[in-house]
Amino acid sequence: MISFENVTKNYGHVTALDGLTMHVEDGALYALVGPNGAGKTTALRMLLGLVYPDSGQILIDDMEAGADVRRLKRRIGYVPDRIGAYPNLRVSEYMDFFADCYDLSGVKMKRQIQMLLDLVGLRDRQGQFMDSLSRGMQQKLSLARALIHDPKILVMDEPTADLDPATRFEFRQILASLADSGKTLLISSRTLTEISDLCTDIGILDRGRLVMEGKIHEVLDRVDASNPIIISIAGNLSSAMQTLKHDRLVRSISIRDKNLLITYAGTQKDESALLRRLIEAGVPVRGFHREKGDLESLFLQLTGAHEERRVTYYEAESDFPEG
Amino acid sequence: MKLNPIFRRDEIINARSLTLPLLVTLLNGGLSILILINLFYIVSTAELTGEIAYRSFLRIYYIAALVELLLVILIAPALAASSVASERDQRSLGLLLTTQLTPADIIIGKLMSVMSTLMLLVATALPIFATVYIYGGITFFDILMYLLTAFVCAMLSTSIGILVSVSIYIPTAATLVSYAGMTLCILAALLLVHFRGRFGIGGVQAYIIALLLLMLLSLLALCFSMRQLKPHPVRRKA
Repeated sequence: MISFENVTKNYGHVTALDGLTMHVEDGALYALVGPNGAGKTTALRMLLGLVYPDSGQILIDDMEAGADVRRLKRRIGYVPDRIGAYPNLRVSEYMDFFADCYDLSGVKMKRQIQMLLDLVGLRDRQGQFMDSLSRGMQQKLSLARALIHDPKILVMDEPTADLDPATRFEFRQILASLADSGKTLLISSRTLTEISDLCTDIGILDRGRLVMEGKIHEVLDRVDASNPIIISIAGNLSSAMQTLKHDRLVRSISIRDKNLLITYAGTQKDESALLRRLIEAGVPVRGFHREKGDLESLFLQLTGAHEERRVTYYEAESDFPEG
Repeated sequence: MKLNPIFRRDEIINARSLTLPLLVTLLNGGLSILILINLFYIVSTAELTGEIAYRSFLRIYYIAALVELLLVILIAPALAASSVASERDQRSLGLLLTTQLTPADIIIGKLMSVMSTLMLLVATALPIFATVYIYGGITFFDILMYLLTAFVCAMLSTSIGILVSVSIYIPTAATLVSYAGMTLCILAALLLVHFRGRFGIGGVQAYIIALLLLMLLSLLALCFSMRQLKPHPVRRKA
């Protein structure tokens, strides 16, 4: 389990993380979502032990990030948003180099490299120079590289940003298979659409604070609750209107495409009761459901339409840990 | 023995780049032209006077040695800065730190990679020095001292180059600061050799002490570079 406890980080006068508290369960596919400068990269870099918090604590399976470095590094694989494509280095040599960095060698390792290149569909390209690969292929290679030491946790910083839809789809398929294999995946992203149907948990980060966190279905339920109920009726709407007007939990009634849209403040039990009352009143109800929640609109609502902060500059520059 | 991964990777990349062959060709080409001009001068003088100026062979040694040392001092910071800057540009330095590699592994790998290029330059120029050795005027000890000096100068300028480039992110500024640092260190060493009388030490002794001091400085620079790469934890109140 990964947990951030009241973590704060400042870059000069800019607060990148402001008392961040976040928990990622084992085997979860956690999406850390937020606009540019929300503090996502800083949070991930702290988890990797590349940046230390000003205050607070980050625990990975009860070990503090950056403490038992060698043991922790064995457990975490990292996919940055952009791969460092070494010119004049072939795909297989790149993988060999990182295997070497983890002190791994031998026939078993060679087999592992072949298996990983197979997983990301780059086996046929292992003789190719890295800088001749497309952006999508480089990102897939980065993923294969991050898995070379078979880490338990995979940390990914906007891995599918700027990828074409086809590559993004392939990438998501690979992520799904990794999640199925029991790995814990922590993915940061600026947009929800690319991962909302894949992740099990979600955390929305804004201005260094977690504004919402939870299981994806719980968050979706919460979003659903704020959406209107759509009632489809065969025939005249007046009898339905009469019943609805007398319900104290109905906040507003509108008509869209011959359907009634009501803003309803009740629980799921109240919704059932309302449906029963409509049927008892002889209203020919054909459909009764809440409009599906839209995470994107929730995200915009939570993060607001404020200006992007300039933390990204510091994040990019902090390739060297501050000293 | 396991080879440093950074060094091994850089060797593969360097072997495929044009930089190294170009450097070797230009340096040895330049030195060869100098030697040829000097030899031509010796032969012309001998034809005119009937005397072979053996002193001129020594001049070849001094000029070649000085040119090569200067080139090593000039090239090393640039090589070190570009080597570290390229990792930073590709944002691969952070990635390397997430592997089992320690900051020491990365710095030593970079040092070995730049040093191998520089020492290759020095080694390929040895046949030029051999001409002086054949004609006489310098001893094996002189050649040994020259190699030692070249090694220490290469080590110092590379270490300073690495330290400055991990501390200053602007490559031009990093290279300039490296040259300034290198100049200061060499001036201090030369002053020590020059004023050796005041310390009551002999010429060779002073030279060796100066080399040892420069070596110590380069080790210090490397230690600071490693420290710069390491993330610093916050001191928590008990």
